[in-house]
Order: sequence, then C-alpha cells, then structure tokens
Amino acid sequence: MTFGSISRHIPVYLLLATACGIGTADTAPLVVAHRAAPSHWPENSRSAVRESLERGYPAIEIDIVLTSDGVPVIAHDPWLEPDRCTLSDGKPFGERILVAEISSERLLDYKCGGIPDPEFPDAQVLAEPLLQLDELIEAVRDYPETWIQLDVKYEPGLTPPPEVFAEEILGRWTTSGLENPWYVSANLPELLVAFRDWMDGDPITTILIYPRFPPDSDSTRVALGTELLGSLGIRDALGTAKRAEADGIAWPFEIIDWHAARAARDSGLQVMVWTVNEEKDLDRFCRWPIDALITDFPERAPCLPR
Amino acid sequence: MPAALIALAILGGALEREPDATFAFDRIDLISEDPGTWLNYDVHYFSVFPTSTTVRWVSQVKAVWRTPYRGLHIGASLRSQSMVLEVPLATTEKHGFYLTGGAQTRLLLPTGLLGGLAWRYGPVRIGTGISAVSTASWSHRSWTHWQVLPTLGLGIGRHHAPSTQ
Repeated sequence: MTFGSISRHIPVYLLLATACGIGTADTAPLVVAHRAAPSHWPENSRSAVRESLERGYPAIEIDIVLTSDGVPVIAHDPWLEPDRCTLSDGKPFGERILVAEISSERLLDYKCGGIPDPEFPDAQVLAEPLLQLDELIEAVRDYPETWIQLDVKYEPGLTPPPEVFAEEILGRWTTSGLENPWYVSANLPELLVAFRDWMDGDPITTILIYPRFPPDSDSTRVALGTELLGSLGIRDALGTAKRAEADGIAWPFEIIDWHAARAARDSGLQVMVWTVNEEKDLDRFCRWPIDALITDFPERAPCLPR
Repeated sequence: MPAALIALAILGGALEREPDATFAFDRIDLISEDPGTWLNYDVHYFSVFPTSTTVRWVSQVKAVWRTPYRGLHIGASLRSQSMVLEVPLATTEKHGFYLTGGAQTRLLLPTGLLGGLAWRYGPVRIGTGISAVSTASWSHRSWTHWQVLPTLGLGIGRHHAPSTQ
C-alpha cells in the first residue's frame, strides 16, 4: 500500500476509529415522578402524591420549604405564586407570599393548584391546601417500596438556614419509622452538608443538583455560564459534588456533561437526569447509563415498570 | 500529572530550535484532538441537544501556533490548552505524514496526554490518535479517573509545504 492510497482512505479509518459513544445501560434507570407528576395533577399537591402512589410509580420527587414556625410543607418555590395559588375562598391575592414568613396555621388560608397550569393543559385543576411533610409521611406509609426524593428548597435570604431544614425534615423523617428508600437533593452543597452532619454518621444519600438555577434566574444565562466555567475547569459538577461529599449528581438533561457523568459513575457517584418529558428523549435516556430519570410524564418512559 | 510532566520532559529533550524561527499562526482546529470529549460524547447527541452540542463545539475549537522549536506546536481552546510535537514520517511537496505526541492542560493544569498521526495537505490537517484524559480541573484537582478516547482532528490554516516544517 502506497502513501497515496493510505492518505485516500484516512478519513474512513478515522471515522471508524471514533465511532464510539456511551454504552447501553446495564440496568434501566429509576423513573422518578417529578413533583409527583404534574402532567396529571397539580404539582406537589396532595392529590398528586396520593395518585402517584396509587399508580405505583417507582419513585416520586417532592419539594420542601419551611413555614415561619418550622413546619415542612410540600411546595416548589419559597413563596406562594399568585398565578398558581389563591385564597382558600378562591379569590386571588396580589403578590408573592414568602412561605417562610407565614405560619403553618395561616398557610391554611391559601390553596394551590386551582388555576390551570399552561405547561400541563391536560392536568386536573384542583385547589388544595399545601401538603405538610407529616401528611406526606402518613401517605407513603402504605407504599413502602416507593422511593421518595426529598428536594429541599433552601434559598439563602428567602428561607431558614440549612441546619433548620435538617432539624425539621430529618427530625420528622427519621422518627417516622418509614421503610421507604429515600434520598435528599438540593442545589446548594451546604444543605447537603448540614443534612449529613445532622445524621451524625447514620446512612443518608445526598444528591447535588447541578447547576443551581436561582429563583427567577435566566436559565439560558445560567446554562451558558455553567458551560463556560465547566469548559475552563474553574467550576464543575464533579468538583462541587466531591467537595459536598454528595453521593450523586442530578443534571438537567439539556446540559449534562457526559464525560463528567461517566467519570462520576466510575467513581461510585449516582447520576440522575432531569426533567425529561419528550417521548423520544425518554426512550433514549431509558437506555443510557444513568441511575434515575426524572420526568413529569412517567407513563411516557419505556423503562417505567408496568 | 507525573505522566504529563514526564512527557513534557521527553518532548523537551527532543526539541531543536530553528534558526530565525518565531511564533507563527499554524491553523484553527475545527475539530480538536484534545481532549476529544466533544467527538466522543457530545456530537452524537446533536439532534437531542443542539444548543449545548454547539456551545461545546465552540469551546473545543482551537487556535494552534508553531513555535521556534522544530515541530512543536501550542494550541488553545476554552476547553483545553496543549503542547504537541509533530515528527515528520513521510513528506512530499504536497503531503506530510507526522507522528504526534503531547500534553494537554485545562488552564495550564496538566490533565492528559495525546498521541497519534497527522496528515497535512496544503492548508488542511487531519489528525487521529488516542487521548488519555483525566477529569482533573482546577475545580476538581484529582487525577484518579482517566478515560482513553480515540480522537479525530480537523484543522485548517496556512498553506505551507510540509517538507519545510
């Protein structure tokens, strides 16, 4: 073979040499009903939790904030949104109400989920008071095999400090006698550290959500900043998770760093992906090497146990 | 990291300064051989994640300069900065076929090694080989996890006769 013939075929050899990628997962990922499946019911609502459990989803993710008297309630944002919640009589209220500034008793004056969510036009519209963690614990007690992801919404300046979250949530959860497998997730490492410290050596699984999208932030800007800092190696998921001594990383599926994800798995960290809703994407991720797949539409995931 | 330092030392011993040579722009690598993660991990998912795949493509586009030392090139992209030695294997007036080897860094933190073959034809350079890359970064200064990736590079730059390089 002459140099000339080699050079003519070089592009073919090169394409063959690089024809690789992430392999097929050996086991299907755990399908997690994000916010207890808002595609069917109002997100994080008592109806959503109850129905998700009855449908037998393998895992449900719920978000937790604290009231001014330290009662953990299930809600995604540190505040009540006027476009999602109303007064208990159905009348609207004007501006956001910070949950950390009202007591659990006063919180009963409000209901959420009674306003259609344009993101989920097929979901039921049900106005209900926010679910308390104590009620959630009782609800899941009859479903001991269901995984529970406690996503703690600690936001500096808007919520109590991490230690208060740890005390109020873990104090209830660990004394409940629940058999359910569970893990804690948060987007700030200090929250995970506080939870692990509170457990004082007892087992707890902590997942770092990376990157952090602060409330009301421009998600495109955050994503681009994450890419830039990650490219330069100044700040990345692996380093942040290792410093937090987290057990896993949850990436938004649009910007997951597969090189880092593979290294994370190789080093024993769990890899989760959120929030995958399109059927074609769910089909792909069900076959990819990840540990959990978080979705608003669990039924669309081919790897959901039927 | 020690492996990268050893490689740099080996490269250093093989260097020969060319008389009157200066730093000069060599090419832009549209697809860079280092670190090789874009081609191995991201490009497959262009249809799923077009934006992030494109952003990551931009971050791996690398500008490469020739140095006054024979065959030694330095390159820089957002994702990786590298020092690569190209040793001619067979060259004609039009073609050049080279053995390549070097070290890669992230903001000058050693992160891996690469080696392979490159073919130059006028302004076009195509390279292939292996990239041994760790996940080390300034955020995560650990060299415990390595991946060996096949690489493919495509560069376009100055038109020059390979035999004079």
